[in-house]
Amino acid sequence: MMPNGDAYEVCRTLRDDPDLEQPHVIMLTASAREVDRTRAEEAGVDEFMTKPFSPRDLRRRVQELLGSHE
Amino acid sequence: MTVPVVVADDSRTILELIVLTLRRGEIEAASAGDGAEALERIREHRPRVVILTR
Repeated sequence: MMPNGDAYEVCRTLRDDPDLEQPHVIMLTASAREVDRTRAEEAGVDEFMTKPFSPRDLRRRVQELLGSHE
Repeated sequence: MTVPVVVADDSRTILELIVLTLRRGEIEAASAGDGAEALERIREHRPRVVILTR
């Protein structure tokens, strides 16, 4: 877990950077509280996975996003 | 070399777990230990996917 707010700040900063091709942002979060979800969506997060997470599920999702299915 | 994924977490254990898991799927990932480093890696690699934790 990064320092509180850091992940949101990173996402917001990269969303505000016109020189970047915008990546798909996955946030791993320990809390599924709606307030966090709202805050993350406002920062530009595309999707969430709740911890504890399955590394294989995460890999499968990244493969889908990259178009590199096993 | 650019990589398609940047992963940021302040836990080295979590970072290594995610990077190794992706590598087993032949996906290279750059890791960052804090927000500032995450932005550096993102600007350096211009990844298609960013994984952030909180």
